[in-house]
Amino acid sequence: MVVAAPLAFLNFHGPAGPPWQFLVVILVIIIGPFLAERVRLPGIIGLLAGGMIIGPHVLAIIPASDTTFNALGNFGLLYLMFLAGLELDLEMFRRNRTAAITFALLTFTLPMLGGTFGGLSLGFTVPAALLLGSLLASHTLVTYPTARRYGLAGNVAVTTSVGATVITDTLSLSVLAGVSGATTGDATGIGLVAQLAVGLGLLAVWCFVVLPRIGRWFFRSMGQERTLRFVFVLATFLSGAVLAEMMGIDGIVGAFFAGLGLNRQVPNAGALMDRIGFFGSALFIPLFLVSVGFIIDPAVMVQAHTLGYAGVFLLACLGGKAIAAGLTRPLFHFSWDEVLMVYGLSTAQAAATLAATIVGFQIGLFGETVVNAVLWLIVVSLVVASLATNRAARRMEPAAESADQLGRTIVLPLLQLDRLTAVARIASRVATADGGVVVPVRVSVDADSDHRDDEKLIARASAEMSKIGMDVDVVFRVDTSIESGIAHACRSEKASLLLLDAEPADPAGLTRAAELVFGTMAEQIAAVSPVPVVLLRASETLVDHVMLPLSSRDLGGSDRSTALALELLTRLRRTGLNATVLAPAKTAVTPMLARQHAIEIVEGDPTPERTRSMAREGTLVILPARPGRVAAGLDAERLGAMPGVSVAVVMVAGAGLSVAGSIDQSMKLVVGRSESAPAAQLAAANGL
Amino acid sequence: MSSLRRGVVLLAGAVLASACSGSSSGASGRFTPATPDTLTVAAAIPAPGFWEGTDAADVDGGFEFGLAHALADELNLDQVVVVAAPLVELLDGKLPPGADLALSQVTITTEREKHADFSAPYFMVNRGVVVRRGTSVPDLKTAKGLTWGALTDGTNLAFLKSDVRPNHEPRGFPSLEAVIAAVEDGTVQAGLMDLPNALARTNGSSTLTVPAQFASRDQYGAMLPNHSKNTEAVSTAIRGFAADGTLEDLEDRWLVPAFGREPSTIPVIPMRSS
Repeated sequence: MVVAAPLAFLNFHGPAGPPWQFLVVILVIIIGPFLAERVRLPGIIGLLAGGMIIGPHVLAIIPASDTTFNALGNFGLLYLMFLAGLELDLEMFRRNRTAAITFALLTFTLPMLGGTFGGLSLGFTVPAALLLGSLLASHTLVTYPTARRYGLAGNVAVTTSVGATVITDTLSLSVLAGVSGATTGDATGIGLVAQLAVGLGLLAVWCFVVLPRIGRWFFRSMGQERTLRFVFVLATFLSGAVLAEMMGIDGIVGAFFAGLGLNRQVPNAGALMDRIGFFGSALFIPLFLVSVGFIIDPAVMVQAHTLGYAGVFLLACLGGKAIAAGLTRPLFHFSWDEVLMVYGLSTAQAAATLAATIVGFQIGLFGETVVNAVLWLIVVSLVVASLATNRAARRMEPAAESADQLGRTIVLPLLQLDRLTAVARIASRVATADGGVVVPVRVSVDADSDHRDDEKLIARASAEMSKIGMDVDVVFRVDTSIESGIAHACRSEKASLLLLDAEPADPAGLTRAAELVFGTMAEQIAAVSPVPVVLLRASETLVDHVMLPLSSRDLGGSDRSTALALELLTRLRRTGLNATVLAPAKTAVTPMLARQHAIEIVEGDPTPERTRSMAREGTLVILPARPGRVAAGLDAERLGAMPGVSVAVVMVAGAGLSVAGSIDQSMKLVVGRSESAPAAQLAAANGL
Repeated sequence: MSSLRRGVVLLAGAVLASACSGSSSGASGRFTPATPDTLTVAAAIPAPGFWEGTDAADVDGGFEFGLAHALADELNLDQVVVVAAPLVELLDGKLPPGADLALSQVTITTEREKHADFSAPYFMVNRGVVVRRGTSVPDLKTAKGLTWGALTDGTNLAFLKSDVRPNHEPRGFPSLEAVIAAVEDGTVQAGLMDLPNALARTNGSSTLTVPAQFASRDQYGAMLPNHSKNTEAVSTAIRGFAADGTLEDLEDRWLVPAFGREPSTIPVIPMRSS
């Protein structure tokens, strides 16, 4: 007072208004997770608690009448569900679908039944009880990073749990769609079912058919600017949400479906996903979580009534999930550690649960007591899931790197740009099939240069790849040699495949690039490459057909390059290309192409002549390279000379050592263009 | 069984028993009426558009009338009893004895939340300017030059003082009818009240009009006694009415005809002086 009185003329007043409220919310976003993690709780708890403290029930910095943060929270909720759809690993689901579907049905059904009966026993209405069951049946992969950190991403228990998430979340949101449709719409009975079926059908068409096509078109045409791509993504999930609401389905279902629809086009390790994740983690999702905190009333949270509800929810959820996880032992012969891992991964209740709860709250099915009880459930389930996953992960052996991840990270050296578009298209297809990314790498050996030429080349390459819809960050390295630079890039980027452009820039003679591929440098790259290598001679004609000739020796041997060639073929088939295997007998190939029914198998001797007669404009011929045999080289040479035909020679990791060991001058030439070796000599060497 | 395990089991049992016993409230919260099977609603009447009628005994329609009946239905109560109450008392957070809640265009404010509980909002409003025909209020500068009147203890009088800051001290009146009368007889040049009230009270008037509005996006909520255990059930029901279109239907049925014009067509006065 002594100080204030003389300063009264300054007319200062306390902090108020939107800037003050935004400042406080942002401070919660910064400090909340930090403090929570200091006491070994998930960051989400810090955001919820922070929201509670500044919300109307404690400090009331954000009053109950606030509409701004309510709207931002709703946007964050849609963003969260979109991200959930986008991040789900569809490839992991595809690979392990039988176990994933079985486990998904178990881990959905048991808590769903428990939650529904639990809700009914507490006096919930049928829609409220069904919604409760569905939100307990979903789960969020909060502890998946723990499994990854322990090198268990490829473990069958982990892939089963991750794959199951696709189903459980979709089923949960379908129940939500039905319940919210019944609660907020006028339709009942068969009319409601019909409305939902038509609504979900139209939504599915929009999200899984139309949006991916629009996305592909946009990324290739208008959306070459990164900012535009991000804004486009916002538009896509909002369109899904708006369409869902027009159909009487909650917007989060549309946002989730939009995420699933764009899942392949926005790979998890890509630059666009990085930006989407950044904005989500930095702002939109924390805003949602803080806005949920506003609902928390500490007085309500510790009431016996709320604790009682939480007890029922915990019993239904953790109990149902435990039984489902336990059943994986007799069904899939999982070890107890794997059972514990499955339980840890499928128990955590966070995003999906919170989203469905908030929708239930917004449409008047749930009151504050249920929301506060669900928050208890979330806190306890996160702690239980975290303990279970950590305990299981410490006891389990890391999984061996799976060959199934061929397209996860494709390193594409930028040697020369003449055929970059054609090469990048194929690289992009292989990556898309695995939900992976293409990482272009430029290596310079001139440490003293200002690298302006490299910068220009990188800019040009980025622009060219943008034009075909790719979103890439070029890696630039200065190294002692190009081959070691590429090898180091493969390691630092954790590459799954090295794809080299094998086309000479100048048809009249071998350039640096051609030398790299065909000459001693190719041997050195192959020798030091820690990952499989594809030497690609891409035609400018768009590839629409892929062909793999396999001899009896290919089929009978244990050579990994044959298996890799098949891996490459199946990936390209999955991206919509027609695929043909030319082999002496169907029966020899069929076991190797399990579940790949859409691949045509042509019986016949895969001679070079037969291969050439079957190749046409737009065909990509895959040839396995093998030590001690130079057939691929000659085939590549002749096939590559055909107009519109592309050729990919597949080599296993480190094959260069063994290939190089048997390589003589003629071998070097037959891998690419022969300028000196007589064709007859080469043919004889091939045994053809 | 260890003592810890036994303790956990007992605690879980107690918690579950607590959840399953007593007056089960389901998912949406419990509502215990002051009078059995009756929803007793306090309101300041008349309130054209919101309560159609001259006093509590003869009200037979209106937005808040319809909302009261929808609430009674949702809360499984057999009847609605309306109790008249002076608006200024309701704005002070005072409910008549025996009333479960008030539905009387009460704006939710932080200050009022200290004395009463509010449900989830059921209506969003701006502030309407009432003047004699021929007077225009295109901007803040013109507004500052007018003499103003508003309801005593209402948020509009506070808004005039803190945000509009007219050259002459604004005057407070005990009722909305008194504000209207003061504008009509020239005691003040302009009256400020919630836009729905401004529109409903000038609809069909040959002397008064609503030429402008201030964008405040205030919210009306049902007012309940402080720390009422019924608030959760009322809020849940109102959120349900917002989601299933009940509120929109009530608005179309009662407020649109009472207003006589679409609120969004009324110019908004920018709050920054040019």
